[in-house]
Amino acid sequence: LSFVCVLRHFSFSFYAPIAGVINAQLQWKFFPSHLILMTQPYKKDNHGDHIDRISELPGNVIDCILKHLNVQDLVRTSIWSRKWRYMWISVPRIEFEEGFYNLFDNLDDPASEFSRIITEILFLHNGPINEFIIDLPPDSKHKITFGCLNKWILFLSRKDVKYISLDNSAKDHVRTPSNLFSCRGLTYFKLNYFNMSIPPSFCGFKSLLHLHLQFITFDSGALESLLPGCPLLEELSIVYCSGYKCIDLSSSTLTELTVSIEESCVFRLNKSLPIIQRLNVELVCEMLYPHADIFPLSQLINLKYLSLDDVNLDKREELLYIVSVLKSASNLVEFDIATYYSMASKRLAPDPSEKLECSVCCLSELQEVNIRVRRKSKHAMSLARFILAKSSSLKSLTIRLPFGIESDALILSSISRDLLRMERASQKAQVELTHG
Amino acid sequence: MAEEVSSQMNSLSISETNPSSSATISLVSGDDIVFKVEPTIAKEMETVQSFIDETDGKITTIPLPNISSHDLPYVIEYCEKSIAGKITKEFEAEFVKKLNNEEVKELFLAANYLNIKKLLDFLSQVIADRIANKSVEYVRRYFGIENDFTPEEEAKLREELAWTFTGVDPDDEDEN
Repeated sequence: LSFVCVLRHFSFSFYAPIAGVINAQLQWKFFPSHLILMTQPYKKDNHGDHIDRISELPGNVIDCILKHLNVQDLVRTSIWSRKWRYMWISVPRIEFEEGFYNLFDNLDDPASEFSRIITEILFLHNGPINEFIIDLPPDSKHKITFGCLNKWILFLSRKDVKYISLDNSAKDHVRTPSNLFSCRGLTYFKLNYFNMSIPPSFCGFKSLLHLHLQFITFDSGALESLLPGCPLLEELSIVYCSGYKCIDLSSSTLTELTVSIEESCVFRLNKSLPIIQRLNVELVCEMLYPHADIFPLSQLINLKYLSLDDVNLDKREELLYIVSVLKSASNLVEFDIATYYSMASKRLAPDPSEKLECSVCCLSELQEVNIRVRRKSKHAMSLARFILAKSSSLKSLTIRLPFGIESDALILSSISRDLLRMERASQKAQVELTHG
Repeated sequence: MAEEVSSQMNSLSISETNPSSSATISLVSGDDIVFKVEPTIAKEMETVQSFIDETDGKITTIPLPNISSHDLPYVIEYCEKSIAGKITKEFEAEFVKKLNNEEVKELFLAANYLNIKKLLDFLSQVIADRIANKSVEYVRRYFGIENDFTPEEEAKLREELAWTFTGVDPDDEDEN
C-alpha cells in the first residue's frame, strides 16, 4: 500500500516528472533507442557510493537473503554492526550441513562442542523456525546423541516447525527422537539412519505431505502405525529400511512412491496402488521378476512415471518382466531405467533372436525414455528396440553409456548404426546416444 | 558497451512505431527514461499492477523514481523470461554473470520495491552466494555497512563467535 501512495504522490501532485515523461516520449519517436541511452547519462544516485540501503530493508526481506546462508555465515552476520547484531535470530530456516561439523574437526571432542553450539543457536533464536535440517557427514566422529536431538526437537515443536530433515549419516543408528511425534504441523519429514518406534501418544501428522525414510530399522509395527496417521501424504519413500512386512496405502492420497526391493526383506504393498502416478523402484536384489507380486500388473494403470534403478538386464526373464510392466502401465509417459553394475555380460548388441511381441503401439502414451547402461548389458538394446517399435507418441529416447567402457569408436558407431536401423512407431522420436 | 546497451534495448517490447498505443504500459525510470512494456510484464510487478488496478487502468504511465534506467532493463528482461516460462538454471547463470556486485544489490532493491517475488528470491540467493564465506570486513564494504561497535565490543563478539571464522576466505583487494 505504501508503494502505491508513493507512486500516486509522484503522478498526481508533481507535474515535473510527467513533463519529463512527455519529453522522453517525444525523443522516442525520432531517435533509435540506443542513441537516447547514450546521450542521457545515467543518474548514479546510490550507485557506487556504498550507501547502506540493504540494512534499512524490513526484516522479512533481509531474511530472504539470510535463509540462504549456511549457519556459520549466518551467525557471523551479528558482527557486521549493531543493527545486524540480532538480525539473524528471526531467520525461519536453519541448516546444519556437513561443513558446519567439519569446523570442529581439530577438537578432541567435536561432537560435544557442535552439539553445544546447536543448542545455543536454537535457544537464541526468536520466532518461528519452519525448516530445520541436520545433515551429518558420513563419519563416525560426528555423533549426535539421542538426548541432544530430543531436546532440540522439543524446542522446535514449540516453534511451529513444518520441515524437518535429520540425516544421521554416521551409520550408527540412533533412536528416533520421541518429541518428533509431537510436531503435529509437519508437512515434510526426512529421516536417515535411525531406529524407529512410535510412542503410544502419537496422534498423527495430519498435515504431512512428504515422508522420506532411509536406512530406518522399524520396531515391530512401527511403520504400520505411522502411515495411517498421515492422511494427506502425497510422497513417500521407504528405502533400505527393515522391520516391516507391508506398506499399507489403502487410505492414502499418495501420488509418488519410492521403494527399494531387497532379497532379505520382502514386503507387500497392500493390494491396490490406486492413484500412484510416480513410482521409483531401487533394486537391492538380483532380479525384479521373482518379486513381481509386490506390484500387481493390473494396478499399474495410473502410472505416469516409472523409474527402475539397478536392474540386471542380462537375464531374459528380467527383460520379459520389464516389458510386461511397460505393457500394463499403458498410461506411462516417462520411463527411466538404469542397469546394474554387472560384469557378467560381454555384448551390447541386440540379440536378433529376441522377439518382444505385443499388439501394435501398445505404449501409446510414452513420450520420454532414458536408458542408462552402466556396464554392458545384454538386453539393453532389445529393450530400446521394443520401446522404439511400440511407442507411437515417443518424443525422445536417450541411451547413456558409461565413460571409458564403451568409448571405443567402433563399438559406438555400431551401436548407433543398430539404433538407426530400428523400426520406429513415432516419426518425431529423437534418439540420442550419450556418454557419462 | 554501446552494443550491449542496444541489444538490451532491442530485447524490450518497445514499440517505436506506435508509441501512443494504449495497450502498453510506460515505466519511467528515476532518470526519466520511458520503457514501454506489455501489460503482462506489468502484471509481474505487483507494485505497478496494483497502481494500475487502483486507477482502473486509466493511468498507464508509471514513474519508478527508485529505479534507474540502467537497472530497469534487467528487471524487464527477467519478467519477460518469467512470463514465457523460460527461467532456467542456464538463463539465471547467464543473467547473473552480467551483473557486478553493485548491480546485484540495486536489482535486489528494485525487485523488492516492485514486489517481484521470483526475482527477489533469485537475487537473495545470488547475494547470499556472493557473501558466503566472506570476511566481516568484506561484507561491510559490500553492503556499505558502518561498523558502530567499539573495538572492545567487536573483539569480545569475535571471541564468542570464534567458531564461525574457521575457513573464511582471505580478503582479496580486487574483489569488490
